[in-house]
Amino acid sequence: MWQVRPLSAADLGALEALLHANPLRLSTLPAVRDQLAERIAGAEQGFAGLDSDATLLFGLHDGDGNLLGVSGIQPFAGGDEPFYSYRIDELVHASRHLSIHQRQSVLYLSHELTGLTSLCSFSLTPALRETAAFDLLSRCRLLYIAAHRHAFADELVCEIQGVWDDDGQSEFWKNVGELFFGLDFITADHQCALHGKTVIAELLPPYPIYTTLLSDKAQAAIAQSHPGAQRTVDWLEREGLEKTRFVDPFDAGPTYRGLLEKMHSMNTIQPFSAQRSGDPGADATTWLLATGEGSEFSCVLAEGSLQDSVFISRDPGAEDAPGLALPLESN
Amino acid sequence: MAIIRPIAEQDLDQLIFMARESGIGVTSLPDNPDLMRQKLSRAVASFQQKLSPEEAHYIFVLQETPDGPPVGLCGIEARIGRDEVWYNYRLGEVIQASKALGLYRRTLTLFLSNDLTGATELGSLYLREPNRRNRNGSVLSKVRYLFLAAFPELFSERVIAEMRGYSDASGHSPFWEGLGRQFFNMEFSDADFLTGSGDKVFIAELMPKFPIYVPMLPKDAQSVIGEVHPHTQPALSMLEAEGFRKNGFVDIFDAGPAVEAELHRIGGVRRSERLHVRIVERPGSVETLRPEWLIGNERFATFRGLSVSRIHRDGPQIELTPDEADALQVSAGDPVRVMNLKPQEPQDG
Repeated sequence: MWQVRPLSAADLGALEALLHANPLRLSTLPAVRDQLAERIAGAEQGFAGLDSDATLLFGLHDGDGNLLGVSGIQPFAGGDEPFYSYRIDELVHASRHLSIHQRQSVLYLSHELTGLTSLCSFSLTPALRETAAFDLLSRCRLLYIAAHRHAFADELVCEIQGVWDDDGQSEFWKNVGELFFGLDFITADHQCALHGKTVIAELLPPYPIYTTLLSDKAQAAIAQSHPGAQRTVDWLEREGLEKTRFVDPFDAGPTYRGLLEKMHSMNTIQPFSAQRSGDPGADATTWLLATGEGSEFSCVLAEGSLQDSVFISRDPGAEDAPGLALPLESN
Repeated sequence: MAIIRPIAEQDLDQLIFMARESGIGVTSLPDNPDLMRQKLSRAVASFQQKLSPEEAHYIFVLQETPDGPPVGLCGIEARIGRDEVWYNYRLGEVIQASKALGLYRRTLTLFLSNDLTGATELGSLYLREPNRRNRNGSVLSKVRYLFLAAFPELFSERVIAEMRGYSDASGHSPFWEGLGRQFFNMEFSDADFLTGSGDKVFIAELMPKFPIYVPMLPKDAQSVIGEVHPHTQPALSMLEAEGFRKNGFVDIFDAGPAVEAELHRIGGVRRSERLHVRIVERPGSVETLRPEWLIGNERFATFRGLSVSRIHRDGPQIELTPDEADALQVSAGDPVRVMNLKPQEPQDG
């Protein structure tokens, strides 16, 4: 049985192995042991309510306690630093006199998304990517937010990984960042993981970028998500988040954004006052069940039904605790 | 000998002819009779002081004989950017540095600028092909120093010249292809023509307003920034020998460099000398040698310049033959300004 709970120091070795096995690098979670230990310690502070800026990290475990995946929430994007994006904008270069009218796409550095709540650091062992474990690990975060609503912003963003080639290089980076840093994408990404993204982003060119001056491939990569992130994109769209005009300043991956109160899952979450083992009846279905607060948070998949705000679970060992329920098939 | 004088109404046909003949590349002389007529009117009005000194655009023509047709011209724009906005790219750089990352990077940038507004510009230099002899090109270029030296109060202390940028044998400008072309689909020759036609400002307004990061341009575009067309190299060398230096501004279309000097530090201005005329008969002084000297008559509306192979100087006085005095329209006792055509740097000896 899968269970999501806050990552702890005991997960360190398993987390490092998980990240190494994942072909999609996470710029928010470097596969470097010391760094991971720090991130986990930070997350523990966050769960304990001691640091409201700390990125919260959730671990998906199987019944034997093996770590199968990780996901995160940054309560306020950028933390206490600016959060960098490029905003895709357009300028019309026109002359009545010369009968010329041309739209020019321009990328502006922007801090607009600073302070929004960011879903981040998602990594799931490949074998489980097409299973309900994906939903559990993704959406458990919404249950956590619902249970601790005051600790988060009203709007949610999610940065999707951009297009990288088979060698892990980004054509967009090659045309933009590399000109200014002299570092290839993999090196820069690693530096981001080590020093934090903001430290690197502060070194990005301050003036807007005319996309027409980039290579065709780099232009095509703007706001394109990596094929490996398609399931996340589909999920976000079902939730009602929209693709924005903001892209990641490093690989130009798209950013999705939406109001929490309008998200499908947020509106289908139902509180329950207790759980009972029993026969859930004919309308039994699979739910995400979240119980506990802060460091005690836990989220599992359970078959059952809600009757008079009591969750009747087919599981004979159901814990008698209050919590939040979210139907798996609701989106 | 060559005579240089202010352009006049009767030169219109020859001006239109030279504009047609000059072809693409001589941006200041578009093949457009109406524009040439306007240009001429403005120059005539400038010499008649019907325009304010700031609005003036002086054009001089060169003729090889006292009664010959004009075969070349040169101009001085008193103040650029006065009646329409003057654009250049200014070469700049952005530094990215981080001690934590051990990073220090310089990135060249092009900033769209109007910074040269108000400078005096030397321009509109053209000499007909058959008349490119006897240092006429040098004479046309340098006679302007005599005028600047005589009337410095009419000009900016900041004197510039814009040099034609690099384009290949078929007229393609790599800089235009790499930058301007990306913003509107127009051939360089068309843009260049519009520029000369007074439409430069319209094109400039279509150009990118934010700074351009040079490394984002194609390599061949990067490599011609601040470089002149091969045919313009001699003109650049001549200006450099007179103290002009590239000033970090380039043309927004072809990235040709602007060069600049302070008026009073221009070589020709500094080495020019004011002398007084004595008329002396000197039989047999037929001009067979290449000219070495320029003489100007220190007058404004009736300015005359004359190139001669030698001068006969006697202290503060200069001896002119009656023919020379006629060409310069001066009499005994009048002041003239003389200037050796060659800069005084030893390497040019």
